[in-house]
Amino acid sequence: MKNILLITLLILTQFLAKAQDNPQPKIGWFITPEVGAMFLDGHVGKTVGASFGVQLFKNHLKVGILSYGRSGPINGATFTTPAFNDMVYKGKNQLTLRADHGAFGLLLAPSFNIKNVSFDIPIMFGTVGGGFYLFGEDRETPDGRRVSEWENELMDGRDAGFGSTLEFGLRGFFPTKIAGMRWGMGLHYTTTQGWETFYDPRGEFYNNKLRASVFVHFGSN
Amino acid sequence: MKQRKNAGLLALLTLLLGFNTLFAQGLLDLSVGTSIQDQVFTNLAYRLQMNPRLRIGAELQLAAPQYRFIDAKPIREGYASTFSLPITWQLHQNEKIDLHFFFRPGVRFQGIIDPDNNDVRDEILSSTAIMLDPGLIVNVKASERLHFQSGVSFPTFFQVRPSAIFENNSTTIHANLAYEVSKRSVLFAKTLIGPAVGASGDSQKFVWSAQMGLRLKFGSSSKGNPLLMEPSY
Repeated sequence: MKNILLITLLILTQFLAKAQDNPQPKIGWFITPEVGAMFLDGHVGKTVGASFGVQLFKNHLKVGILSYGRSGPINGATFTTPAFNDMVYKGKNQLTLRADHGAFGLLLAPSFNIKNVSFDIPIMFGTVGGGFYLFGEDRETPDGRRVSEWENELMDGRDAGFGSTLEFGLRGFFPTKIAGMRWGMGLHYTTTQGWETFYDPRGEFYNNKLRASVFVHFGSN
Repeated sequence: MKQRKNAGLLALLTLLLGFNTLFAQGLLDLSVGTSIQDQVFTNLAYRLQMNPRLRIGAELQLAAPQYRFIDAKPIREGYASTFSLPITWQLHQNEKIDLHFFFRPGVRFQGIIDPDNNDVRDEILSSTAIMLDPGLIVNVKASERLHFQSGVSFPTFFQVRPSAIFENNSTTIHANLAYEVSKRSVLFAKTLIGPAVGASGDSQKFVWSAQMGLRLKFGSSSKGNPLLMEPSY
């Protein structure tokens, strides 16, 4: 993942260096930091992320990377499950867990304008990683081993997993007084494939869910 | 050995000052902040604006940890210091907004003296890590004297000692503010947040940081944008 990010950044750098030398560049750029909400079963998860890349065809197509995550420390929701094989951890055989998640993939977003508001249809396909983990004092293990070793044993090696994700939606970009800077909101439909864990063996935790995003968009316009 | 180190530092300082006098604008940053990792940290940085597009620098962070990791196990006290070489390269500019590529390679040392808490300095638990932090920064000119920055970067740490571990990778988004107080000084504030992953889930899962500081300008003021603030983790 890190290599892909670095390579993407370097390719973008090359594109933009060429665009800078051209008085009428055909290739634009964008960076869109965002915060969001995932409407999951029984609770709303908070997310932080960003997308960045290039704008092609007179800004009618964005191509780039989208990366966002629903981190455990900013999401207080907890989930309870019996431990694997009736194991006991710190006197309990019921585990109380938090969930964390990260999604990363290629973003394609056809764009269009209605008056001075621009819209795009972001389509992201990539990989999703996520799991369930011990939190708070439970992270201090009774024998000094790493907490992930305990999590592996307590959840049969399936405390976390990886899968693929496909997400699509609609975003609106509203102008500000500063050319090249817009703010906006989006609604996305998220699916995951092949992601399953001990807590959620059916892999439905993040599958077929809605996600809302609020963002500031910077671009060459 | 110590004399050799001192001579090296002196040579580096002389080189930086020489560059500054001859070619570049110099920027001296001092900031204090707090983060998920540290109760308090301070950053001292010296940057050279080599030409209107390229800026290079050296930055030292000293910190009092509150939630860091050695061998993927948390430490809640001790010391941490990071030395890095931030580089920014302007990719695009228009009237109000400019885009910069950002890269910060570095090395981090951290540890606890007396980890067994027996009040005798008989043991030191420590680690060394390599840091790579590539990213993109957008600078927005709200006015001549007030600029703000946003963007995204991917601070990544590889622990190399005592054992090799991919410690952490974050997707951080930034919000920085810089206000030119006088021709030679800039007040700034920097924040960042983002999800993180690494060490099989045993290290940071989320990062945040906030700091405030002062930038002093030296040398020619015609090069580059002294209100551009680099993110620091």
